Formats: sequence, C-alpha cells, structure tokens
Amino acid sequence: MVVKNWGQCIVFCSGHQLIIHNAEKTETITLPEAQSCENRNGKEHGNISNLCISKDSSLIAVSTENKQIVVFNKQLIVVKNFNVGRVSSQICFTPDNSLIVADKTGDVYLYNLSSEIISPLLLLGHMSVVLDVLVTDCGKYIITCDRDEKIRVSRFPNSYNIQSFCLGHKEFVIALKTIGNKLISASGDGTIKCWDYINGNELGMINVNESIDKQDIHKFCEEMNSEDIEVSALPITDMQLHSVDTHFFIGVSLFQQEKLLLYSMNSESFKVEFCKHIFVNSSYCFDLSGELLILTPEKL
Amino acid sequence: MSESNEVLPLPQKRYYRQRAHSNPIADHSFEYPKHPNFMKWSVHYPGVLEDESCAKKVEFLDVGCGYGGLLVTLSPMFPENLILGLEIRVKVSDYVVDRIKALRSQNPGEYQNIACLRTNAMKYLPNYFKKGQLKKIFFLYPDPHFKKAKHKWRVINQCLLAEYAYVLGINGIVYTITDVKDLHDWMVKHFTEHPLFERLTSEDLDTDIIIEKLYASSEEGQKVSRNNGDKFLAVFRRIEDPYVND
Ligand SMILES: C[S@@+](CC[C@H](N)C(=O)[O-])C[C@H]1O[C@@H](n2cnc3c(N)ncnc32)[C@H](O)[C@@H]1O
Repeated sequence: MVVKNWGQCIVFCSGHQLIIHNAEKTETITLPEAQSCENRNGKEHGNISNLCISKDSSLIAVSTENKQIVVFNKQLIVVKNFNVGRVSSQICFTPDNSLIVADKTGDVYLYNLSSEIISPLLLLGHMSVVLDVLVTDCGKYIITCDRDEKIRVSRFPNSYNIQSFCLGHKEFVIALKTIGNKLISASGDGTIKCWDYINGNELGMINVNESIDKQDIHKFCEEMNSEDIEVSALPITDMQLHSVDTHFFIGVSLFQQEKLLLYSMNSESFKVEFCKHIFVNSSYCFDLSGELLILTPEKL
Repeated sequence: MSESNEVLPLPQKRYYRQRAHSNPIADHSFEYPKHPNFMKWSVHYPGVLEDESCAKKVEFLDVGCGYGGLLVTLSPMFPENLILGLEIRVKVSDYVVDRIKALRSQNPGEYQNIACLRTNAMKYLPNYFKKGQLKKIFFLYPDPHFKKAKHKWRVINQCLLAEYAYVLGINGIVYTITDVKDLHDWMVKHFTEHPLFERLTSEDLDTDIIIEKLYASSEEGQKVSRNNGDKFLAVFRRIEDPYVND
C-alpha cells in the first residue's frame, strides 16, 4: 500500500488500480495493457508495487509486480507505458522528471522519459535489493539503501563516483528522506538516524524501540529466533518526514504495531522529542507533508 | 600470550584445502565492523600499531589473496606500508593468518606489516576502509567464473569498480593479472570504460618494481608457471572525475 498527497488530491493504489481522491470526487484508473506479452509473468495485470510523484507534481509514475511502468500526467492521461527488464523494487523521479528504477538485484537505472525510445542507463549497483532511492533536491546526488545495512551517496548523474557511505545501521535500511544536506534514514534495527550525507557522518539517532512495549519486542524476537534469525529490535516499516522551521517531524510505523509514532528532532542540536502515538487499530500506510494521511484497508 | 615466545612452524597448507570457488553473493555470516572507525587494526598489526590511536593505516590491499604469497613478497619491499589480504574462504584465510604468525615468530621484527582478514571483498570494503585511503589494490588471478550467468560473481564488474574507486586515493594503482584471456579482456574493458580509471602504458610500468613480482609471487601464479600458462597483466590508475557539474 502506498498513499501520497498530490496537490489538492490524494493518490493511492489498490491491486492494479490507481485511486485519486479529492474534495469533489473519487476516480479509479485501471492501468493500460502492458506493451509486450513476454514480460508479463503470465498475468494480465500486475499489482501496483510502487507509486511516485514528480517534484513539480506534473507526473505520477507507478511500477507493477509484472515489470510494467506507467507514467501519467496531471490530467491522468498515460504519457509512457513500458516494461523494464527485472521486477522493480523502488522508483523515484529526478528533479528534471527522468525516472529512476531500482530492481530486485540491486541495479539502479535511469530512464529519460522525454526521449522517443525509452532505454535504461545503468547508474549504479548494490549487492542486494535496493529498498529506497532518491535524488536530492539540488539534483547533484543520488542516495540508495539496501537490504544489507548500506546507504550509498553517489554523485548524479555521474553516479560511478561515490561521494560517501552512511554506515552504522545494524539491519536493512528501508526508507530515506533528505532535507538540505541532511539525510534521515529508517532501518530494520528499529532506529532512525540523521546524517550529513556529504561526508557520511552520523549526527543524531532515535531508538524507536524505546517507545514500544518491551513485550512486543520480546515476542517478535522470540518468534524470529525460533526460525534461526537473530534479531534484537522491532523493525521500522516506513518513515515520513516533514520539516517546519528548526524542527524535523518524523512519523514512523513499526512491524505489527497498530500505531504511528511521531517525533520531532531539532535540526541544529539533533535533540529528539517524542510527540505522540496515534492509534490506527489496523495495518496502515501513511504520508506526512503538512497534513498527515493514514490509509488502512478500510478507510482513509 | 604464552605462545608468542615459542617459534611456530609454518602451517601445513593441505589441512586447509577447500573448494576453490566460493559464491561471493550468497549470505555468509561474516563478522565485519559496522563502520571503519570500529575496526581494531592494532590486533592485526601488533608490531606496528600500539593501539587504535595510531594514525598509520592500511594502504595496500590484496583482494582474494589466496595463500598469501604476494603479501609475504611485498612485506620486506614496503616495510613502511601496512598491507592487507582479504580472503573469502575461511580455511584459506586461517592458513594465511597462521603463516604470518609463524613468519613473525621465526623472524623477529619482520612481517609485522602484513595481515589477512576473512571477508567478502565484494560486499564490505567500505566497512573497513575510508574514502581514498588505499594506494594500491591487487587482483591476482581472480576466479574466472567462466559461465555467463556467473559473470556477476566476478570480482571486477562495472558496479564494483565504483567501490574500488571510492577506497582508492587519486593516483592509486590497481594491478590485475590472470591466465584467462577472456577474463583479462573483461577486466580491461570494464576498467577502461570506467571514467575514474585509466590504463597505464608499458613505459609507465617499467619503473614500477612491483610488476615483476606479480607473475610468480602468489601460489596461483606459480601454478600457472608450472603449467606453462599465459599471463596477462593490466594496470590502472585512479584519476579525478572528468565530469564537470555546471
Ligand atoms: C584463483 S585464487 C587466487 C589467489 C591469489 N590471489 C593467488 O594469486 O594465488 C582467487 C581467490 O579469491 C578468493 N575470493 C573469491 N571471491 C572473493 C571475495 N568476494 N572476497 C574475497 N576473496 C575472494 C577465492 O577464495 C580464492 O582464494
């Protein structure tokens, strides 16, 4: 599940459909047929796995589980519909509206959407699946994180040149956000870290597991350990960031926790304050950008 | 600590034999530092680094060092540099560690600048080394992984070159040698195409005293010599990024 604010609208997806909701109406869009047949895993439609919106809000792109990418414009007209070589794990737009696609093997490709023939350009590769990717607002860096503990900061578009690694997480890194020259990351180790991504220095940390019932953590670890997987924290499943003046507001969801945790971090001193829990009573996904959106299987 | 006073015999290599090709992509349970700052180098170079406050750092890296022949050759040639071998096969790296221990014990004061770690060099280099820290990286007779489907296991590939460029300082040197022509062509292609490397000419190589040692210092090199195999050498320099950001 993904939910995003899109100007006056809210966009989310359900199965192979895209749902756009605003004050007046709710529109449901079914993806067009994929371009060629061979790539489709035998399925007519693949479920939507990722959704991203360009920084200028003019484009919205979705990727599906059967290797299809569809790009819509503001009027929700399909402007591109193409297939990629491997199942994608994450997509994002560059500031100039090219599309970045990371795949399950750890390779990250750039697709120039303005060219007639769409062909991938390999930017960089990780040794394990890339879980999140972003291009900084200045357009000079691409930041990627993987199922190991790695966060890699590469120059952009000359991504063969690695600027830094932000190392210190003890499990997979699931989500990345930037604000100015700072990077906020969320990990399966149950922590949020703040970095100076230019030199890879760690600036601040939130141990989200400290705000969680110890018994829930213990239960999860026991469960995993019985399957021979050694863990010591409840993993973060998503993180969203909104900054106001001198503070970052960070929303965090954790595995099997039916509540959303909200923190504030001072952007100078990196002092952390716990703001509140919001009980959701269900599995959910959320977006935080001025307003907080929470999507559950039943309601928004 | 008692053992350090006895003179140790060189370890028997045959005790350590293991299947030749390990899968570098599979998940092994490796111990590795979460950040280069957490690496305790003084454990590996006790004769050089008194403790972790010593500024001296590893500058030469032998990737896939095998039984350590190159480390042993380079040690007296570069007494001022710390030299490290990385080896993924646990028994082989154990052998090298024991070999170095024995050499140190037989030759007091010598072989203090070489060490070997067991790790997957394709995954964890940035955990051990800081940006631009290394001066030389060696790839001697790397596993060829002949089948096309296994090319991604090759320790040289387009994406990994970015990591090697990251740990190498500007003007740092990469040495490659192999008896497999196809692998040689592959390595030359990838390094030449990479914007952060340029190939050195044979004139450049004439003045480098390391070159002649690359052919037969290591165990694999000696094996190729015994079989009268060909040897293909290619050396590259880490250069500044030619990309200009406007
Ligand atoms: C053919 S041997 C050559 C050894 C040595 N360089 C020599 O010339 O004698 C290749 C070595 O690389 C090691 N190796 C392969 N992949 C590796 C990796 N990802 N990290 C570290 N060592 C690796 C293998 O275990 C093997 O010992």
